[in-house]
Amino acid sequence: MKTKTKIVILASTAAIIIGGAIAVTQAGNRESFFSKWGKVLSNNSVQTYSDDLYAVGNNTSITQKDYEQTLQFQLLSGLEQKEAEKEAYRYVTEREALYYQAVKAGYSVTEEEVRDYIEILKQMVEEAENREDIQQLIEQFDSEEAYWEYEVSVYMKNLPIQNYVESLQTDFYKQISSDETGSETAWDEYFDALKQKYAAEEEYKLVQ
Amino acid sequence: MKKKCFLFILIIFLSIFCSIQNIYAENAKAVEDIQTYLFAVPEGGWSSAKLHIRYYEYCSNANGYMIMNRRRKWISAKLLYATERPKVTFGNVEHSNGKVFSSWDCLSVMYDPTQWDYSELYENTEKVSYKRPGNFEGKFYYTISCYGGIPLYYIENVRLAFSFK
Repeated sequence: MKTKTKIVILASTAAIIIGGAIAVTQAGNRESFFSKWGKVLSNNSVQTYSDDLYAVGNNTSITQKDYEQTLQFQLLSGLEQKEAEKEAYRYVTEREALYYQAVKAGYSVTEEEVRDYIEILKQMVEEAENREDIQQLIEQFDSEEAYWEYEVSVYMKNLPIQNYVESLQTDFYKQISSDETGSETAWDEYFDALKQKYAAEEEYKLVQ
Repeated sequence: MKKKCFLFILIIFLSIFCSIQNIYAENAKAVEDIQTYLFAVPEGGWSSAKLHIRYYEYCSNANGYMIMNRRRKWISAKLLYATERPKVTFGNVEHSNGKVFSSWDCLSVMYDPTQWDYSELYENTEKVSYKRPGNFEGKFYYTISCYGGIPLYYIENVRLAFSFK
């Protein structure tokens, strides 16, 4: 075989190996988040936690468990410890304050309503672009049934917030002209400001 | 004589009519897709975006050319979330010859509020022509992002391709 031909074959083989390795590594990174996150949720779903509190506000309190789970999510997403702690604090305080406002506004759900929503969620998972990622997360639970039971407990709190936020959004759009451009950005800004306001009103204090 | 004259006028009229039809008959080429995207959020739930994306090119034939008169991109979205809201952004339309259409007017649009949260329709009216016969391909990118969710974003595109004789 001519030297030139050998070089071409060797170079092509090396390119395929290196390209393959990069592709596997990228897929691995993406996979690792959903499998690791699935493990965290699966462990949390079976572990019994004490009632230790992370923070107490004027009307609500945040459990250590909720904060730890949120912190783990932020760390798995690739944030550094300090940034992850800051983001976890933002998330848990805003969510808890929103839940309080939802309940105060009369938004509550029955288990039946949550189970109906879970059926919608299952359908969305079936149709989702990233259903393989989601499947990896579900596989970390003992069974698919166990995963969806866990989701019922998540949405007992999430669904009232979701319904409340949806009504706020509908009211917001009624106030602006339908052909007004940038209304989506306007709602984003309004919603972000509202979450911050509700969290600030709680004046959360960390439990030592 | 009158009959011949009438026939002559009729032929002229029909020729003009057909040629006008040939120039101005505009037809729409379209592509559409419905996709669902889920973002994992810290409490163990999901933020979701179901999107109906449509891309239209309105074209007509004239003097051996395919005239692309205008184009539209149209998105309808249903977003389900508690705390972290998914957000959709559009890119410009680009034709396969590298021509980019960057000036867009937002048009009013009717949509079913029981199915979608909002709908946005944009139109660009810049005319371009391509010699017949040929192949056409146009595309635009869109991004679905969710601050605070994983993955942080998806980048997708809509492609419209067809041949013209």
